Amino acid sequence: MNVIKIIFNISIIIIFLLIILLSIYSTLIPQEKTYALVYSPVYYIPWIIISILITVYPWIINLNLKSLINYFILHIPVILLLFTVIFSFLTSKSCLFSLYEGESINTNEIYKKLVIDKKQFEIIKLDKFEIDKHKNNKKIVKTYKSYLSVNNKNKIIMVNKPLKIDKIKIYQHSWELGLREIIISVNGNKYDIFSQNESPIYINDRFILNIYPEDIINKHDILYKWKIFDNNKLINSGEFTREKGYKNNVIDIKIIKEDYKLISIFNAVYRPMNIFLLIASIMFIISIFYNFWGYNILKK
Amino acid sequence: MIEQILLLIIIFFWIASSIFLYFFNIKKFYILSLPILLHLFLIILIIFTVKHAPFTNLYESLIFFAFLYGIKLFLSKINNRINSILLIPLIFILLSAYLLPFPFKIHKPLMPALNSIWIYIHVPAFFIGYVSLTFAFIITLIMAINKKDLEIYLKNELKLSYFFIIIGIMTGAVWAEESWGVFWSWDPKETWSLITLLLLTIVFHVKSTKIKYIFIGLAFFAMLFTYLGVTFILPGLHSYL
Repeated sequence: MNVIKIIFNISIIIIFLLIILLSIYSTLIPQEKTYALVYSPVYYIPWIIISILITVYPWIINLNLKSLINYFILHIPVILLLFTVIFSFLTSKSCLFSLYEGESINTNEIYKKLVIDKKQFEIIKLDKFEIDKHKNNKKIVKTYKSYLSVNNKNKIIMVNKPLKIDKIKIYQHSWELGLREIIISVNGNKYDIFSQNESPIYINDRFILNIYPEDIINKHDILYKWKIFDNNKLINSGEFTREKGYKNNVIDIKIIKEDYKLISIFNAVYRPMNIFLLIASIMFIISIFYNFWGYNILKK
Repeated sequence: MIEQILLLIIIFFWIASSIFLYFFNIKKFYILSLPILLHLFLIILIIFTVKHAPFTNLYESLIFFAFLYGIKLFLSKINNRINSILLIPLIFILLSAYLLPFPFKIHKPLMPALNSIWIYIHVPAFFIGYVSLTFAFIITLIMAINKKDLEIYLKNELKLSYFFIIIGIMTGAVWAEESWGVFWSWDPKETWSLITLLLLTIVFHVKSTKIKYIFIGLAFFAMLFTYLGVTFILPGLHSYL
């Protein structure tokens, strides 16, 4: 019996080591490859094997009743937690939707996208979208903020502040620039770069100027990037805004008309199994506490 | 400037405490009270300066980590000589906080991503777990080198570490769901905290003492990498420090 016990123990340790090595590898590869790895059988089969080993262990070892109870008090919550994590993942639904500044959506449309049957009807209107930037040592961290009216009540969606409607949570996901009309003047000539991300402007038969919106600054203003190419070779580049424009010996850029709206992209998430996940997590914590200290406290 | 001078004084007092603990048989309470109170004063000073949790950048978190470590030492029932050895990591942590380049020491306003009640549970839970794991690692070293029997303390530290790392991971998952809409996003910091936990799980399942010591060491280095290495080497969602 001892031999089987040792084999069991060694098997569990080897599988754990395999998971650890795969996990280390997953942190060293690009994010998209990480997802491909962790959602592949290579990663989740070891977890399934561990769950099976934990379940069959007491039946093969023939533990006495007291040991069996102690074993299950600790290990059943582990398996339960693993299963609820999987079920929560499988039953959760999410969808992306976007709103222009000033545009509205009703919650039924979101429910339809999520393929769920809900009756609570709300109108969500995006009043304004802003981007805040925070300097953190050498890095710039961006925070997106959507100012909404939900049935005429003011709400904000941003990081740490999702909007909760019924059992759905709506998160800020990302943003896009909704261009309507951008007219610029380059050395006195007008150009329309409406709905084009990059538009070549021929200064003469040799030089090409590219102007395109690059980022949002001061929460809501467009920062443009310009590049000059000489026979497809980049020779100069810079940035400008509507307020300041750009002028040097060769080019004089001004924004004549700028009509755009920011598009906020949201992620609506529906997780019906959250409550079971919460119960399983609490059970797991209690079982660990009981096994480590609670048992001795009760004994005393 | 005041903060830096105070930090230097605190380092001096912790070094003095370590020497006193090793050479004199005085009650630990009398030796450690002063540095603990000074350290607490520094944490309060940081809280008043930053007006938020005192562990939102590397410098603040090192000082807070060292404070929890000091508290742990103050409460431990291990004898003075071993306590003096256990004090060494605390001194190193504070020295590295003191020697950090100036840009790392600038207190900044709290970023919106960190502005949540969960920061007050998630981070301290991990730090308590990390402090216990550091204790466990030093105790393991003492046991391996000096052959002293500190098994009871080691077991207790491992349990505390395991329990609080689990609390840290779970509260982190709840916070992530509130913040980003996902419980787990396979961010390097998350994955490395899971690796630390799995290594500790192995420690609880290993029967051989020597192998157990090896895995405690591995868990400790995984913890160090989660706390410091990931921040500087692997970019991800947790790049706030």
